[in-house]
Amino acid sequence: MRRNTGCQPLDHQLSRRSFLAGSALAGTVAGAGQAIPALAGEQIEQKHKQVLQVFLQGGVSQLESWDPKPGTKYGGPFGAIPTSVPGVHISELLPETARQMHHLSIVRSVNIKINDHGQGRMFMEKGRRAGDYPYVGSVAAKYLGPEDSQLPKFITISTRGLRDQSAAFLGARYSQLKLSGAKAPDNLTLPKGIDNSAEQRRQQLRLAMNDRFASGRRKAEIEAYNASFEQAQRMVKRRDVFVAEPSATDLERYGRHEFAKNCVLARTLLEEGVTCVKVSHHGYDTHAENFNFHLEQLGEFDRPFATLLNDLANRGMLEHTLVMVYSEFGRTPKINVRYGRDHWGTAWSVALGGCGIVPGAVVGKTNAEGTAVADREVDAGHLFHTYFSALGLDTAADHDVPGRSIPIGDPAADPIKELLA
Amino acid sequence: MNSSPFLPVAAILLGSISTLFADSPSPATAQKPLHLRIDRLSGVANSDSPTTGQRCNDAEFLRRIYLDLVGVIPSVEEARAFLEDASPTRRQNLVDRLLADPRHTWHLVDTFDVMLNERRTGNYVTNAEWRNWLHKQFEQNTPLDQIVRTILSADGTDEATRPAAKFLLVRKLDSDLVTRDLGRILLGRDMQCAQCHDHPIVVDYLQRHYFGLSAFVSRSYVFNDKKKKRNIIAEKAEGKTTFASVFTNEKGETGPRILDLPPITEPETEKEPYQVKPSKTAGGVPKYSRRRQLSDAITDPANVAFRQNFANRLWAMMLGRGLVEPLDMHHSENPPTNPKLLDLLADELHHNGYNIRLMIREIALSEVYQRSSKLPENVPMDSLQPMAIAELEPLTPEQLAWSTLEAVGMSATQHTKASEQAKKNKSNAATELRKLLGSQAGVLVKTFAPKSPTAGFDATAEQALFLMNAATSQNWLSPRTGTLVDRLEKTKDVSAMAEELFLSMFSRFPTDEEIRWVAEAIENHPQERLNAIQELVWATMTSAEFRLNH
Repeated sequence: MRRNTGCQPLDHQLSRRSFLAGSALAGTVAGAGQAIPALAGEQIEQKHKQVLQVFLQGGVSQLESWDPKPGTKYGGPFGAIPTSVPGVHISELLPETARQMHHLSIVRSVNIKINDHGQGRMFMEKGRRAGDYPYVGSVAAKYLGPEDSQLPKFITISTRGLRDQSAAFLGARYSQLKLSGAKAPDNLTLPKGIDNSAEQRRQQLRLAMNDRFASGRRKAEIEAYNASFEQAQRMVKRRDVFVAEPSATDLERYGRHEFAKNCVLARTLLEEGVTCVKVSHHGYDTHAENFNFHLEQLGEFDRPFATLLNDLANRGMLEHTLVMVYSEFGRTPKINVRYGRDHWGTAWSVALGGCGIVPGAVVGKTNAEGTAVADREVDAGHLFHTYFSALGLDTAADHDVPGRSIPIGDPAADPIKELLA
Repeated sequence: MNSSPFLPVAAILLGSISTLFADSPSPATAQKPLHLRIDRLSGVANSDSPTTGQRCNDAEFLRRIYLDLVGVIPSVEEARAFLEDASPTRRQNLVDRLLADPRHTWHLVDTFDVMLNERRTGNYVTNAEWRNWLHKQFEQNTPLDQIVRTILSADGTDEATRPAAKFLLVRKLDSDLVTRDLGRILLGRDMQCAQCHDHPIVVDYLQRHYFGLSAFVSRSYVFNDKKKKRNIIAEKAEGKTTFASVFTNEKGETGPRILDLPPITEPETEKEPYQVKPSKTAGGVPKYSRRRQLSDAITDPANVAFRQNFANRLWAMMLGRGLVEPLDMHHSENPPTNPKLLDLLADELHHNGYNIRLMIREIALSEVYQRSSKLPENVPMDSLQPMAIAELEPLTPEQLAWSTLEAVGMSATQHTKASEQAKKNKSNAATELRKLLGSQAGVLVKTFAPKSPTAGFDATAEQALFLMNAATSQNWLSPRTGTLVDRLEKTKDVSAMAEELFLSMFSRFPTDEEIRWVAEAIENHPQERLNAIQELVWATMTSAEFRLNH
């Protein structure tokens, strides 16, 4: 996690690039043994790879979303509708998303063999069944983001506090900044009695102290500490990003409820260059009244999500932004006595699209009644490899952590090759 | 002076001297104090050579030894007293004084609490109960191996040892979590990759090692005793530990065993294997308990990994860096930077009866501990010997919390009250001060606690924002009676003011240049003198010199 303090920004791009698999440029660099042209470096800097995670917390029903089975034993009351991809049908609860389907692909054969919220969530985030590993967002922040970004590199927007340690051994610089809805984080305004000039003076005094102390000493820790203040000062300057009200047009297009506003904020943060933005939508743990709840929840989800996806596509951002829609697991085909569906890690779906992902594909399938995976079974380990392969990271390489050899992806799994563009 | 049950350090140290030589194969060499033997092996004892760095000056030693032994920087009075002490044995005297200080016991509680439970909270035994139990152990200087044995064998039914069961209870007896942490924290080996297959890179970490450890605990579970309204650890009499590699389809079965030591010999299963059969109303108590074998097996002298791990952890606690780094990655391809030194420390820990205070004392007296963090001039980095330069180590959240409250004068504002309460409660002022300022320290600890036990220096923007803008941190700069800002405001002479500021924050006198720097900051300030003082206090409080143990 410590920067090599001796090297120039271009070196960072190069070292980051050495992680990039299958990149023509990387090959050229290795072959020619010389620095890449500055122009190419700038282009990478401008359009660095980004991630949008949309987490449907509680476990969305695959049967009411990506893998509908109308008219079957466990199919439930809702129908399936055609999408913008010929031959691909999804639940009628997602009409707006269906119109954007050409930006997405579906994996219908996920079996994580876990039916516990916490464990399922960890597996989906870490790509490992157990242990102290970083989340998708922290891995992205570490290897995809520019070193000097204005805002934190991994920001999550959620209205529920879930305890989690996203960065593990990568260190807090890559851990998530949690926003509870479209609100600014704590301590972004200067205290009473301290105006901008007083702030400048005290920071200069601090730096003067540090310069004297650093003289004749090793620099890494001192610079890491200084960097935390630099990042803090940048965040104070960009407070506007967090508190800006959505425009009237956006409210019209996305909706006025909380999740809609969070989606607008997510778009803003991605435009501001945040490497990974995660938006959570809560309330899918439908042990009772599964159908009413999905009607309501997906009704809220559909328009803002589809609008966000469409905006990213229209603004050219989807080319370098991976989008993933996921839960901690799916829901049982069997409908219980309270018209609910229970936890089900055995045969469910996730949707993904954007950067490096083949659009409009459907991978794997469940059997006729949706009770088991019938073809191309994958788990969260395969998905993790797939996300980062799509983003150009060599998931077989080790994490950049001194003293430890930890492969980025679980060596026991591999990417879903059919999905990689 | 008061009725503190704390033993004088001489008694603690002398009590262990008799055991010091007990098993020693060669008394002739063992008679040299440990710190001299450390010096011989560390290679930096001879301070004449530029490649061995420089000996730290008294002020550097003062701040470092306070942070490492009592977990807080010295007060201005303590700093002055030491810096004006001309005795040739002043460093050793200070070490012995601090080892007998009640704050040292609390510092050990903080250190081992975080080391063992890694800031987990809740789950059946409260943190206060657990920490008070640890406090009792360190107050009595209970041998470390005995502490570990109690932690691993307590099942929560005996009130006296119930708090010790927190190690297992806080992890809910989750077999994978407990197995991984037994390996990491007690054996210095993070074998999590060996859970699903032999470790792909570390050839020493095998799946059977992981499951050998797992077999000790996998039959145990948390039982909710509704009658007594408490959770205890119960155990089943059956359950095999099997494993299969996700790579090779290799399958295995193992009984309980520690790494490559022989498996524990188990008795024939009796017809009735239970003392108490597991049921809805009773937690299982088997006649033969696998979990009960764990505490002896792990602390058995044959298990060298145990003493190497704690020798390395004590070394890291003092030097800021283990002889093996990361602390939980002991394996053949990541050898100690100084294998002989680690062997010496590990064997000594065993021979002296796991007396932590004695180990800490000897490490503190060694020359390698007393290196300066300054690089010698005109000597290239790569020609320096290992450990010739002291590490710059971020203060732990607890050290940072108590040092900040000390430096800005929050502690001073509570001294009178703490002494009064100490009399009333028959405790000591240090303990009462902890109670009085506990919630303020807690805010700091929470803000600065790393998000993961395996992360390095976690300097985050959120922490900087807390120091810059939070109401709590700004409150420390208010000119209330007794705070540092108040004292500085009442000091007319600018060099006396600079001296008070530097002694409070950095436990050293300012240089002439620094006195001028303070004078300029005061004179050139566009507003009131108070604002200038507050800015100076803030800048020193947030400086790297304050944030790092150096």
